[in-house]
This record gives sequence, C-alpha cells and structure tokens, in this order.
Amino acid sequence: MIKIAGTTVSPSNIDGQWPSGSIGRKIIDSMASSLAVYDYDSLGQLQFELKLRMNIIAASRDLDLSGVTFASFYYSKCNSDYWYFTRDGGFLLKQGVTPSTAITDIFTNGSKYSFECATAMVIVYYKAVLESLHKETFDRLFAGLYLLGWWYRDEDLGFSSYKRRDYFPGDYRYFKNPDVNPRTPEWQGENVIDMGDGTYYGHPIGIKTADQMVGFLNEHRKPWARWSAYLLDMAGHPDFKYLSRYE
Amino acid sequence: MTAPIGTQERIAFLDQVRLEEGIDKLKKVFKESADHNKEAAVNSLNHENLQFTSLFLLRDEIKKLAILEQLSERNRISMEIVEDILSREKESPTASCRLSICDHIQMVQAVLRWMLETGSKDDGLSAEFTQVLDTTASLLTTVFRDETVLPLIADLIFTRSEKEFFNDYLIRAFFEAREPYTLDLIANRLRSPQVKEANLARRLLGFVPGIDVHKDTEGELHYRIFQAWLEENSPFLHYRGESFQETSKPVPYDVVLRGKYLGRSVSVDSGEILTPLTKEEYQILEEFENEDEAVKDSFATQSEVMRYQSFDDWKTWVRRPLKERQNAQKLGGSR
Repeated sequence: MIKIAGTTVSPSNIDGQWPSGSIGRKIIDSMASSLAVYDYDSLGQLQFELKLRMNIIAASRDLDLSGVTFASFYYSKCNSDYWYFTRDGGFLLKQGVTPSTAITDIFTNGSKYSFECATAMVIVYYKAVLESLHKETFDRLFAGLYLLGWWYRDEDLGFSSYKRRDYFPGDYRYFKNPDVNPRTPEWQGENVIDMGDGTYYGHPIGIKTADQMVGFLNEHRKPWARWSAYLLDMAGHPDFKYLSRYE
Repeated sequence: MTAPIGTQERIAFLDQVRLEEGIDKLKKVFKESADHNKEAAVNSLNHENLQFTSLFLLRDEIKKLAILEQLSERNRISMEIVEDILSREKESPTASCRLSICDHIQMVQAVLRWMLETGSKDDGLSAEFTQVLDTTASLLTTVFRDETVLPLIADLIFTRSEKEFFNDYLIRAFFEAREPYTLDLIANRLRSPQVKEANLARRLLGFVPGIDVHKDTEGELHYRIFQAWLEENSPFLHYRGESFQETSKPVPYDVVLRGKYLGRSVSVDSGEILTPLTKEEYQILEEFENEDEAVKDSFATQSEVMRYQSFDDWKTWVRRPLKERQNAQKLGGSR
C-alpha cells in the first residue's frame, strides 16, 4: 500500500512518468500490492526514491564496465591524484578535491582502482546519489569522503539494512558464505545490488543470477564444506527521505 | 656484524639482529653467514626461540639457498603455510609429511600458534605479513577452535585500532571462535580511558541492547549492561556470523527465544535446543511460537527471571495458557 500525505493512492494516480514494464513502474506496483505501508510526505518524495533506485542500478552497470579490479583490503589501491590510501585499507578524499570529481574518477579511471565488494557497494551508492542531486549539493554533503566498506555508511548516507517483507530494485542484498575457506576471508559473502530483473550486481563477480552468485561463492568454501552460500532475507538502502530534502 | 651464529642465546641471534639493527641488516647477516657456513645459517633459523617475523622476512633467502628441507618441522610447516596463504592459488601445495598424519595435524596447530604469538609483535610490517597473521588467526579460531589465542587476538584488534590499521578480517576471526563468553575480552575495554579503545569496544558490542555506540561517557554502565545481558542470555546465544563486510552494525549473536523461554541451552552453531524436548514442552512452544517477536521476547525474559526466583512457581506458570498469562499481565500481575 502506498500512502502520500496520509492518503492511500493507487498506482494509476502516480505512474504516469514511468512507462509500463519499466523498473519504476515495477516498484510502484510492488509497493501498492504489498501488505506493508509505504508512507511518503509528498509525491516528490516517492519520485525521488524511484529516481535514486534507477540511478543505483545504472551506477552498478557503469561500475561493472569501468575496469576496476578486485582486491582484498590488504591490496586495495586508488588513484593517488584524488585519494589517500589509508593504513586501514580505506580511501580518504584529498584536500582540495571535490567529492564529485573523486567519485566520478573511479568510473572513468577504473584501472587505477582495486577494492573489495563492500567498498564497491558504497561507491555505487555515492555515484547514484551524485546523479540524483546537484553536484554542488553533493560536494557540500559529502565533503571529507572516506571509503572503507560499510564502516561509516549509517552516518552520511543514512544507510540501514534489516529483514524485509518486500524487496525492490536498487536494494542492497547479501549472499552469505558461512563455510568460507579461512584462506580467503574476502569471499565470506558477496555484497550485491538487486538489478530488478532477477539478476544482481556484485564486485567482481559481475551481473549474475542468484544461482550463479551462490555457485561462485561455493567455489571458495573450505574443504569438505557442509553449508552452501545463500541469499540473506535482509535488504538495505540509503535514507531516501533524508536525501530527498537536498534535491 | 661478524659474530658466529649460535643457538644458545635466550633470544635468537637473528631476532637480535633484526630488533637492534633492522630488516636489511638481518638479511645481510644471514646471507653472509650462509655463504660462509650454510649449516650454521640453517641452525640459526632452527633456533628454538626464533620469532616468526625473522623467518618470514628471510623466506626469499631460504628459497635461494634451497635449504627448505633442512629446516625444522616448525619452520618448514610455517613456510608452507605462508606460501599457501600468499599464493592466491586455490590448490594447496602438498603438506610435508615427515611426521605421522596425526602428529602433523597437531604440529600445524602448534606452528600456527607460534606464528601468531611471536609474529604479532611485528604486526603492520607489510600487507603480506598482515594477511599471514590474519589467516593464521582465522585458521586457529575456525578450524582448530583454539580459544587460547583469543586474548592475543583481542589485544591485536585493539592495538591495530589504536594505530588505525586494517582490522576487518581479524575481527571476523575473533568472532568466528563462536564462544559467547569470550566477548568479555572486548567488554573489558568498554571501561577503557583510551577513547579509541572504548569506541571500538562499543562498536563491536553495539548489538547488545542498551549499549549505545555514540555514548562515550558511560563505559562503566555499558560494562554492567553487557555483563547482565551475558549472564541472562549466554546459554541461549546463537552465532549468526554477521560481520562488517555486510553491514555497519553487525549482530554476530542473537538470543534464541524459544530456548530462553523453556530454560534449555541451545547450540551456538545452529540455534537448535540441545536436549530432546518432552511432548509437553513441544505444546508449550507451539503456543509461544504463534506470538510476535516482541511478545516472545517479553515472555522469554519473564520466564528466565521466574525460573531463578522459584523453579516450582515457574513450572506452574509456564504450563498455564499463554493468553491467560497475557491477560493477567495486562491487569497488573505477573502470574
């Protein structure tokens, strides 16, 4: 069920700009038919969430094609023109560099970057937010940008993840690998974006089905492993309503 | 330095050179020694008190000299483990088998412990060295379930945090031990006057209700909250394995409410109640499982409290229909 300013609305009232078969229309239809209530202060707030979700999917595709490579935290690397590589394996924005420039560089100079799957998710979310807000607003909101997996994401993106009734395109999901080989802790799981068409984007696995993701992770289990990798029933996303205030 | 390399010192000669004169000098001295007398160089490596760091730093020289076979079992196994960790290849090289397989397994654990215990003194030496230490810790906690190394791993986690070194995989290795009582090794740090130490302790234990990650002035209170929570819930904790790779607020353990409600310990691995249930207990649980999580949490906690107060009263209480007890609760009574 979708409620806007306290009033229940039907998809036909709001789906004009989202063509039939589009991801936006799919999200609206799923929300409307759900038993959960999706509550918005205004139509604009809902439209911002839809736009940001579309941009999350687009940023996932772009990062997949950017030439970035995979490395565990030990061997991560970044373009030193824009970032400091910190001792804890993070990328810290250099003074005098705007966040928008540095984030965009990851997508245009991908070969200069190597990182783990969690950092890839964070980069996708920043790029999507950059595409959803004015550049100047983005630079103001994310001054002092610091990329290190999930460690600080509940603060600046308002990121949260929890068990959900519904899943939507653009959600963050996680494939867990409980029997991972201790030699390769980086494959303890795979952070992914729900692409909305039955596939998921994860770094460096690429855009794959759930079965393919599980198959890949199972290849990195310890000898005589008992448990298969699996998709967790939780999902996450940035705080759409908070970010919509800056549109 | 031209002193003969012997094996009688308390601190191994190679460690002494490294600690007093640095890594380059260590390599130079070892090479000169090997050129002059290969056997003496091998003996210096096989010194009982040698620290893992020196062996790690000399691995290229050892390869060049082709003396792997002359190394002690400890050193040879250790070299094989390092090669395996850093190879990035999936297939492990064949383990050396001079020992019987049963002795070999025990020797591997002892060597891993030696690598971690002596190597941790030089944590941060290089990315490769960090990777070797982390993997060593993980093998000990996950494969060997070796709890004796957990205090050392906890120390290492907090030392790294102080130095702002990479910590994620080591934190995971600690939690993968799956021993709730070892959380106390972290909880002690909630009271630390060192800001970074207390901050990380709150972050790691932030899943415990009542511990506020952002409140940095209530260390003693947080510690007491943790102790009360652990005392109340430790037999009912299930390891979920959530880590910082998947969320900024991992919940490594959750409380199995059905176990807490019946007062039956659960498996930390599976969350299943460990002992067989009676027919009556199944019936009690069936009613309980139909409630929502908040109600189950409330009744499980109440059940635990009553069991401690009077086991006989509790037995009567838990057998009464749950709805009846809910109504009594609404009217202000607990029975």
